[in-house]
Amino acid sequence: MTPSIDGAPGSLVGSEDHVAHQPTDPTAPGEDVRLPRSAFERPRRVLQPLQTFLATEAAGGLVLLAAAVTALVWANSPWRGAYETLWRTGLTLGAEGWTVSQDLRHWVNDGLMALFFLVVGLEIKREVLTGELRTIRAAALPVIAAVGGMVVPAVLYLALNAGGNGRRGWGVPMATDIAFALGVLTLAAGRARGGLKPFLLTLAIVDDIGAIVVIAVVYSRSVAWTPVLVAAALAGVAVLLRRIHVRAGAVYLALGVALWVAVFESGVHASIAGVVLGLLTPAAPFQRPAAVSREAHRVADQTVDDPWPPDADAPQWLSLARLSREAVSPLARLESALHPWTTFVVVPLFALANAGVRLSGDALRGAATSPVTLGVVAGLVLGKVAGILGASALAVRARVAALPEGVTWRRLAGAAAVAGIGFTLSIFVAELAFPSGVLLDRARLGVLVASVIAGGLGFAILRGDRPRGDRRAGDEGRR
Amino acid sequence: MRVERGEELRLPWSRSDRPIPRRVIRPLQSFLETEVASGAVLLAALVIALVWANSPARGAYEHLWSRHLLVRLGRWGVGDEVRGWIRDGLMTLFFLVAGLEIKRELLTGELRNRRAAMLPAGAALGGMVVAALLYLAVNPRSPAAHGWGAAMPTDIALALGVLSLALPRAPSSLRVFVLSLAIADDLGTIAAVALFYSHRLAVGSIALAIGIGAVVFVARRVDIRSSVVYGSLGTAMWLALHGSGVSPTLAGVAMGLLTPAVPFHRPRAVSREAHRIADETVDDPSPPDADAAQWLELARLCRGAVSPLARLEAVLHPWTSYVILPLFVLADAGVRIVPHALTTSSSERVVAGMLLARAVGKPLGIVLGSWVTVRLGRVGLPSGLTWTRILGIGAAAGVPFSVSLFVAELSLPGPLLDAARVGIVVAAGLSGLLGFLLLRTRRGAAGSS
Repeated sequence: MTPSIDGAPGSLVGSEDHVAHQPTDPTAPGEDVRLPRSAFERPRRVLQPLQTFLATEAAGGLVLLAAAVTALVWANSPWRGAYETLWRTGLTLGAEGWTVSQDLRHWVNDGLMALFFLVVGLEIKREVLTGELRTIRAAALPVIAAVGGMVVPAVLYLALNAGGNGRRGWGVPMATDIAFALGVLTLAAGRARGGLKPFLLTLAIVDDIGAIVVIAVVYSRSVAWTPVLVAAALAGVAVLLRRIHVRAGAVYLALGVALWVAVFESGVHASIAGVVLGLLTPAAPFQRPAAVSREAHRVADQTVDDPWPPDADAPQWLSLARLSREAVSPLARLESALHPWTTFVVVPLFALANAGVRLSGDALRGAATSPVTLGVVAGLVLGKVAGILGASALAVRARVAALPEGVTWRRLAGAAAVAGIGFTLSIFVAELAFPSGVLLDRARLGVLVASVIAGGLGFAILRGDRPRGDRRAGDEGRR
Repeated sequence: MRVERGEELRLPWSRSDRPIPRRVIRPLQSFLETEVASGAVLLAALVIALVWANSPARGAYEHLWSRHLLVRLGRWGVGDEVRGWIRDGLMTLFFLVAGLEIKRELLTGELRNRRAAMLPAGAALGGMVVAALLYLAVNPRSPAAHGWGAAMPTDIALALGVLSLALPRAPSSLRVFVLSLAIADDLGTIAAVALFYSHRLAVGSIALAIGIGAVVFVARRVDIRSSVVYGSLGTAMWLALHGSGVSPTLAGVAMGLLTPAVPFHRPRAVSREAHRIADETVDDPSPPDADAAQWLELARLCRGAVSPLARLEAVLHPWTSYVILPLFVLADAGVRIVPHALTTSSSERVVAGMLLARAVGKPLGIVLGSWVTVRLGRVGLPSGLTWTRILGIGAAAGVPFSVSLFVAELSLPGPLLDAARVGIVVAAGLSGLLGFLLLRTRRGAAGSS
């Protein structure tokens, strides 16, 4: 069971099950305990944050695929008019004289996607503090590979578009879609993925950092400095409040919304506000677990089973609930609260709103000869593989890094191909690089085609490489 | 158990020993925990509103509260002035808490015992009927007559505030009486708002809202617990009622009454889990959040050991008493007291009716209602409750306020509304003083019954 707080999609559990799964606890036979079955049926397991992350990513990839296919079918069906009308519907919030007014597509891209980038910021921070990126030795290979996998596609794209008006799109083939990449890896390699998964995860996170820098620096509209200063001041206030141990979530929520508005007004892409907030989130818990354990014992001893009035113990329970949340770092808490939402709601919504490209004969013919489409496809499929493999080979040859245990060059090639699934972030960058129109459509088409080719290629390489006895184990990822 | 250094619980900023928390926030918090606090905050909001609206800066007052706030999706939108958002939007949360309190009192509180509940119910009924009748006697003609509902309600916070100011060590029976009376009074007001102050009813929208209520009920029955689901359903119900002619705040009352009063988990089972998790987690896990899932699970279980009703009340109560209600008063009580505006005969009569109803009608009605209940229902007065005290409580219950302003807004047109506001504000001072004195002078009689 993934750690999900009340209200996360995963927690919407009906309890007809509870009756069927009466826990059989030898210490208290026949007692109506009404605990959710997860606490009893699932054996306790120490959920490594990484494992949680990977477990949801595989499922997330499938949901995302469904959303993308739905968008494509819808946009090319007789109801395509409804598709455009829906995403062009305006949503306005505001008071006289000051309003935020955008169509639904942009609310998804600028507003909801800020949550996605918030989670990305949290992941980056965690990787740097406690994950692979903590030590130079472990980080060297994925970082170098990622840099190679960003530079080569961009160069390839620019070479194909030199002098053309598609030049601005060089950021499109640089990105990697974590959800899809890990989904394909899980489906293809099953348990044999070994050291490949941390490698790909770290690589994708470095790719994310690259994409964020590109979004912030290259694709920002003309930047207004006053809102930027306001945003910086808000971030400073957040740091200050953290330092003096202010913990009220409402305070940080308000600061976060204000920061988003400031960044939105500045012309820097609003998603950057999410990244900044993610990086600012503390990674250390407020309370020592030992102190909370003591409190837990105390509260468990002092409360009674049938208090009168019925809520006599409520303050004690609520205070223990608060303390045990404070035994978890805000970073992990926020991640476990938001992750199901971004994976299963925000990113699929993004795909639904943005992947609906018209696939008429004319459009396809135009795209087949367009340097933009070709550049994106070449960058994502060839550039990624060449860049990642080349940079890794150089690093290993120069003895800067070594291949992780159990990772062969062939499997590394598979991972490199999978990293060419640019999907979400590539489309995101394309939206920023091109005003809506024929170039945007061609870039999006390129991303879709390249993602399918890269995914298929990666799947084939990884699947073919797997030891025989492991075939069945690979299907576990499908669940 | 010996506590190692650095292993004690860390306090948040607001409870730390830094200068601002020590000198400002902690004293403020301990004040807010007292009985008088919410009444005092309301009073402060009232004074600020009155001073502001009659100061040279009154332009800013009107401008601020009449700004238009808008949410628009395509061709469909909800827009209102700030004042309207507070009255119809934020006050829904206040009524949600009222619904929760009513449900709790009915299930586990004083009103659970139907016989014991008769006295406060009878007193509340008497108070409401006599006050409304007195108002109608002075204002027999429409449209002023339509404001009778504003003469009825009791303000829980202010009545309790007067009681605790006058008798800081009042016996609990007295407090319970006031509380149950105020709650019975709330029920009456809600019924009046639903029945009499809803105009041009859109039957379809109301049916939709009732349907959403049924969905909430079914969702509860199949044990869906996600607060997101209920939050969305509540919002949907509010939207359905918005513009249906019925006050959308009723969505708050309905959701409050639908909130389960039984915890999801047996406390004993959660205790066992708490022991287990406390034993199995370590102080310095590696990676640092290795135990995160367990701790978050424990937090969820602990919350499940408390009924949703108590949880929601604990979350919302501070907001409604210290933010929403004061905001409402701040936005609504700022009457310009311009003598010549009140000299039309109808305005004068609205003011007079309001004063008479509150200062005379309420205490009279409450004593009368109690007396009739005692005689007919053969219930005795609870210990500590004397007839003089009932009279004093009646006077304190005559302090009309936020809810009266709320009903006045619904029922009276512009100039009369201003008159009603003046009446409400003056009556509040008068009744409060009267109640305080009545309860205070009989202080020596404490215990004699």
